[in-house]
Amino acid sequence: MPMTRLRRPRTSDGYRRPMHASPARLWSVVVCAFAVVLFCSLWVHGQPKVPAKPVPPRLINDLAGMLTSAETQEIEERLLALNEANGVQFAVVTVPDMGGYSIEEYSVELFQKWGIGEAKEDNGLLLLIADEEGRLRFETGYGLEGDLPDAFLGRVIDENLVPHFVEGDPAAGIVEAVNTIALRLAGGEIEPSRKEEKSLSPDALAAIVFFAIVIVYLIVKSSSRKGPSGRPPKSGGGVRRPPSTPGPFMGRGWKGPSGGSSRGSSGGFGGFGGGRSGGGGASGGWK
Amino acid sequence: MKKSGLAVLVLVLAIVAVLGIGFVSVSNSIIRSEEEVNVSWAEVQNQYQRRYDLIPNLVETVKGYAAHEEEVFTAIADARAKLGGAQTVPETAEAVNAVEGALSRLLLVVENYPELKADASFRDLTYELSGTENRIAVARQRYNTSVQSYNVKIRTFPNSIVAGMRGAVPKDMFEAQTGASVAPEVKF
Repeated sequence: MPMTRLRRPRTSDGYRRPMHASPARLWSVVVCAFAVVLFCSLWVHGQPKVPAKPVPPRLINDLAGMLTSAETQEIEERLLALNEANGVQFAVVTVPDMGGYSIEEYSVELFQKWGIGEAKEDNGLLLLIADEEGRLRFETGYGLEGDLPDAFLGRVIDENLVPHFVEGDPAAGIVEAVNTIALRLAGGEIEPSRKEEKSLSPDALAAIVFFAIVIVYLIVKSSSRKGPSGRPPKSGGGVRRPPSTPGPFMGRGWKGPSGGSSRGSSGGFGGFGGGRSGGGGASGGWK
Repeated sequence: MKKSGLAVLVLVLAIVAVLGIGFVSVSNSIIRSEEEVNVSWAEVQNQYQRRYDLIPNLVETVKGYAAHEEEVFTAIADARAKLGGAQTVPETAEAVNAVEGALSRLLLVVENYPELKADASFRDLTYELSGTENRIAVARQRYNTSVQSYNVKIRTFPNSIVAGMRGAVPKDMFEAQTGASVAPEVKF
């Protein structure tokens, strides 16, 4: 962005009068360029630099290396079970440090960058753990603020997470927290059926019907032109394909339009769907 | 003669059509941008309302342990009433600063009452309040970002003509006053 902005005036200037660029003019261009670069770097500095979205998508991301691989596996399975049960995308992320930012700034940025939760439901939850600072935070997606009030998450931090972290057993704390939250969500308003209901939205249904009508129309038209002895087997195959092609596409791909959901690639989690958060949740610390 | 007249007419019509399409598309993009600002401001107000609703609960809980700190309670009540009457962005900003000042004092008072800090419902309220403060910070930041992009949009060249015709004016950013720019620290 800054490069194109910079280059454009300079080249157009050069073409117009290649020899007469006065030093003062050149100087002002340099100063402007410097100002733009400075501005951009300042602007970038205002946002914490958070890690990139995991590929392939995972719910547990132990970037600080606080857990053993067996522990990671166990937590991922629990998070996946929760995701299967009610569609909630609960991401657990550990980072080595936060580069001088507060955990509130860092978690809202990470949440936004990864897009935790489905875009339509904003049903994401992030547990961020900063190893060096010894800080913990739950960041709730907009859609979960009602089911998981800040006070509840604060109690989970105080009662389930912090004691185990103090003892030096973070995995036990995380497992306990996931269980407590899963229990709460199971008793809450989120139902497993809602997920399926939403995946076949009226839009999708209308699209399928529309495509079916168009295809049937095209086939009828082409077969009537070619006559009865055209190619019955091929057009027959054409009729059968459309309902099966949009079927799985609507069912799976519909949920994460930007996330590139590839369910089954790693045996479970299909990817974050672009959910948003607004700073809700609770923070705590163990150091 | 007749042919060239027709050509001119077509040319004029084409220019009018191009200008018209340009006007409409710029105008629509300004409207979209303005709507974004409105939505993000609504979110800021929404979060203020959340805090506003939490205050009485907090005051009641604190009163249970520190009934004689009358001065702080009246300051909060006054600031809260002021916020209820605020309409514009600057008015709201001023009222919010008053509320934040009063809340900070209340939280200082709390420091002197260890039993209060150990109270379960007070702890819950503390979490709710600090969650709300953080939501407010995020909502304000997003509001300012949307105002910035709106202001840039209506001030840059081709758009500025359309913006001038539609009477679009730059919007105010939310700037907390110095001294009160730090939200009340809720940590126990």
